[in-house]
Amino acid sequence: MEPDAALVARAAAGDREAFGALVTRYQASVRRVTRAVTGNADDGDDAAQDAFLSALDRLETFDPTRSFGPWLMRIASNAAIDLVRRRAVRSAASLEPNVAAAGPGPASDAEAAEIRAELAAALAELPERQRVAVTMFDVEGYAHSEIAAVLGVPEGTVRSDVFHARRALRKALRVYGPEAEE
Amino acid sequence: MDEHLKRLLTHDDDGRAFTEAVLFRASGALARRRQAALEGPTWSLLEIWARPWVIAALLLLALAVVVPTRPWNGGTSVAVDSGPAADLLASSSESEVVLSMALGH
Repeated sequence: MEPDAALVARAAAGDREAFGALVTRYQASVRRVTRAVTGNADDGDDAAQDAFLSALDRLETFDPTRSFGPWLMRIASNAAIDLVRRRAVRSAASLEPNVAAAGPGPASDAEAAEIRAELAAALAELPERQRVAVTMFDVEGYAHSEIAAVLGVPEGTVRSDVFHARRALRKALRVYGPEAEE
Repeated sequence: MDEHLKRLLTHDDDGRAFTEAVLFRASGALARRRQAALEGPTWSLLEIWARPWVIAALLLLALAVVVPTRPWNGGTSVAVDSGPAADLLASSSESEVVLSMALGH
């Protein structure tokens, strides 16, 4: 597999295939983060597309000695937050069913669907930064320090955000015991 | 919870359509990058390094135009001019004397 830095260098020279490889490699992670922030699959994809285009515009600012993922995630989370603020007039109530309905789980599994609906509603209640933090930590597997760099906040703040986000999600779901608390 | 969250946030497509959509929107920017790569970095480097020299040359040109019009050596020119000026004044005085005598004053 070609390293990210090599793909970035080729994409910076206008190589469509290299840029496409970067998009393919990171689209799932970026879309999950933007979806977590926007609370809506379509808005999440819009923000994710904006993030990739913005990243292409700023490729010269990427330091090839560092990881591409966190750099891209910072752009993605900012794009999603910007989009949410631009569309703040949209009611949250209309978004929650969309998130729940767009999940990949089996439609016939009523229990799973109910959990996803509750989770989506709980996620929508979290502040934007907590949504990014808990998604990047629990779903994408980033370290606290990396998330701190992405969000531009101290590592302790990220730990606090993840803790509070998890607690809020568990409280909303009511199916996860305190033993799961980290 | 992590698995539920991941399932909640993960799209059920394989990402190909998304990637194609991004590439379609990025086609203009990629074409401009290809064009810039073909032209090479010479011009941009030249532009960056040329700017201070262009500005300096313009300043020197402006100074060269302004300096001769300024009385930098005003004292000397006054001294040099004092001779002819005195002569003119003297000749003027002589003319007045001649004119006065002609009028009988």
